[in-house]
Amino acid sequence: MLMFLCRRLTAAAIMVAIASTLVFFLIHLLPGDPILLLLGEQGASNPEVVGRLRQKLNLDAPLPTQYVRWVGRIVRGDLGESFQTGLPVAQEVARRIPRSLELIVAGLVFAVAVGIPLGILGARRPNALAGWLSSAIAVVGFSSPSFVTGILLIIGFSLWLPLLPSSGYVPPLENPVQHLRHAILPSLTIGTNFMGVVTRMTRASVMDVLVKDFVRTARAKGLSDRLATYRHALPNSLIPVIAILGVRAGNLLGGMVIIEALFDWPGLSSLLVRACFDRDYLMIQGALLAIFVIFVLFSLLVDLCQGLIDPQLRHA
Amino acid sequence: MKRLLALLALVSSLVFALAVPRSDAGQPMSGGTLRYGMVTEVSSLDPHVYVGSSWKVLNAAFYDTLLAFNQDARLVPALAESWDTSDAKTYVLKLRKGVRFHGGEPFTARDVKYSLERVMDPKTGATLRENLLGTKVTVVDDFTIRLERPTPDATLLNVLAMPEVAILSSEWMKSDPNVKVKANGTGPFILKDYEPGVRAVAEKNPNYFRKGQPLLDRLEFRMIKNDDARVNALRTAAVDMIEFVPWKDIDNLKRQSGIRVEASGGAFMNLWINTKKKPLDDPRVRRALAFAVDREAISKAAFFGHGSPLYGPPTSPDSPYFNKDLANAFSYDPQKAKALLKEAGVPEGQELELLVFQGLGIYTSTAQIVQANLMQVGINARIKLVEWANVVESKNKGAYDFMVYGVNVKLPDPDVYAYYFGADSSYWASPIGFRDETIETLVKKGRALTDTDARKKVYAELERRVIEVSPWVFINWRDQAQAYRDSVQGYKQLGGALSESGPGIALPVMWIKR
Repeated sequence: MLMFLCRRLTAAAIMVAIASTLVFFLIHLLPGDPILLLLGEQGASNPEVVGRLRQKLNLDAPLPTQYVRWVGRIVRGDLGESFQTGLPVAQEVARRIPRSLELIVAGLVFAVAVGIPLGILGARRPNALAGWLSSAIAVVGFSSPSFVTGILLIIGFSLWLPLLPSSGYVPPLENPVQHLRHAILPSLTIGTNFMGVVTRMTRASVMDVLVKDFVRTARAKGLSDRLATYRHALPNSLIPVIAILGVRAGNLLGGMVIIEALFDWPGLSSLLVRACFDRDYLMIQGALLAIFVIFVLFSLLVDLCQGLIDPQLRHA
Repeated sequence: MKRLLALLALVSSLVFALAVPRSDAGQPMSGGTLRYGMVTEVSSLDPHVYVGSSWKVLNAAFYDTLLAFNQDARLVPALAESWDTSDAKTYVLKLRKGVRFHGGEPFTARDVKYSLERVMDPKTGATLRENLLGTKVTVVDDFTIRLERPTPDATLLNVLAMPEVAILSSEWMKSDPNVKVKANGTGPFILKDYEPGVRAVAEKNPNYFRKGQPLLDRLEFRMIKNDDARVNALRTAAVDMIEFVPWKDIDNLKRQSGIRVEASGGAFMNLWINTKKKPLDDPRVRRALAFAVDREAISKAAFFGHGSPLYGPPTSPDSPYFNKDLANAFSYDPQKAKALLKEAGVPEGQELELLVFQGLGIYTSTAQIVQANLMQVGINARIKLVEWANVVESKNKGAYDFMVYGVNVKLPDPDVYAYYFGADSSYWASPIGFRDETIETLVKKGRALTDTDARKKVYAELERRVIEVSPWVFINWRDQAQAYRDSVQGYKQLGGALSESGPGIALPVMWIKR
């Protein structure tokens, strides 16, 4: 198990290094100059002003030199400072990560709690009304884009029934109850999509496993239909479900742009998008680095979970 | 039955009308919190570098200027109590005594000298640097300051009243604070918490120099860039007021009870033309574009009726410099446009590239209508949609044929023409090397005059020249709208150059009715 972990971690570190190097050079290829954006539409075309600022932000050095400097600082744990705010990138990124993770985890919990039972139901009674309904819910869940689900939730729960706030973020230390109330709708939006995927995958996977020989054997030795499903078929069918959830959850870290904009939730995605529009290079690099690392940790976690369920994978 | 229904409808509409009284201000009450939804994700509070209308509101909350505009758009004393000039070249300002910065430092003439010099320092990248450049600032004594302009300049007092020339504490600046995330002014509110691009919280300054102000205890600014989220936040009373109401929502919000919408023209839309590119270097071609564009259609379709066509120069009708003779210099006349193009020898099917910011519907819809209009007169305009960073870069490199551009009136003075069309102005002219000697001369002449009637003549002549040269096609004034719940009192929408400053000017006197 330790060997397995070590191997995975090394591979992960190499992946992160390659990805962030690519990002570094790619973002400099984008048209648009951070200095001009920083100075606004008025101050931006005085060459003297532009030159001084470029020097101050160390953007006057050749790209490879800038890269070496950046790597040197990362090794020392310094992500640099945002061009726009002058604040340490690490601070800005660190304050956003928990906010994004919070929504993702809440969404996952909802998806698993609703999706797995629904999926099993669908697998066990594929031709009954219940099974048909479970598929329908799944399809609607994963095929409606998040902006549609989100807007429907806002219309339903904050405009028609004024139960929940339509958008916004309240720091948990300022007011924990309000904080949670604001988190519900965005989490549900993420959760609905996840739930669709979980239901669909669980259903297909359980159906697949239910006709396998070992389930037939379990049935033959006298286990009830229910026990055979839950004890034998279900753990085996969860492996692909976990895999897909891991990847999707990782994607969401930087891919919740629409949800964050709709609910005015200041997470990692909106920071990244703003940094891109501002060409705030160090911020983009820092935020992406964080996303890469978390993504890799997610897939590691998925591997571990699968390893726990399926001993064969540990030795593979 | 039908009659009964009609009666019911009548009665209910009467009840409805009675239930929603329009304005009933009453006695101002102090206390309370104003929750304000902003459109810009303000990522820097530097008081000298403009980053959007929302920044102006924040700046006015934390900082003061030497002079200020009040809610009647009049110039009034602020940190300067009085001022005097004999020749519009040397100005002597007497400063207010006993004012303290939020950090406790006393306000003196040294802070004024420091702040004005910071605006002129190229390292700052200050927005109004060029308006102040060359000013000699002398501290006469602790509460007297002398400003000397190289040439007579009638615009200086207006410039000193703009939030972009805020006064900061020179003592505080010695410790090299990060002014992008901290604030230390003399303004009506003190910054308590700020997360760049997300929110800002401020509390009442109990030592504010205007007695009895501010009325509010607390301000909570939320930066809600997404239009629908901002509007929904107001609808669900998650905020009390929002700025930059999306044009599509203006009528909807007006119909909703408990919400008021105020709009005024503060920015105007244009086609900025690169006068160095063939065939656009010929003024006849540029005038042809001005005749080809259907301003009425743009105001209706792109702005949902909340825009007014601009057929003359961009001076607001309520300005003393408004020139009636020129107000209809252009019209929607494709035939005339065609004739002008023919005269200039532009071939049928001439290709041009129209650079358009992709992020706002008002830009993209305007561009589509312009494209259709130009097609009718035989010009084939290709729309190139780009993000803001790209717009700024293309503008500063002069790498465009023509583009859709919205302009906020920067100064309440016709000297803005220097900013729009002056050869040294980096805003539009200098990147493409535009220089018109007539405009240069008239700008200098107008700036040196102090008599309004004499200035009117100069600027009328200047506007005539602008129409003749037509470096930009003026399209329309767009309404800038703010919406607020009817518990919010004391707000007044200002137009023209003060449209962006309106909320900032209102902050100290706004209050919440309970």
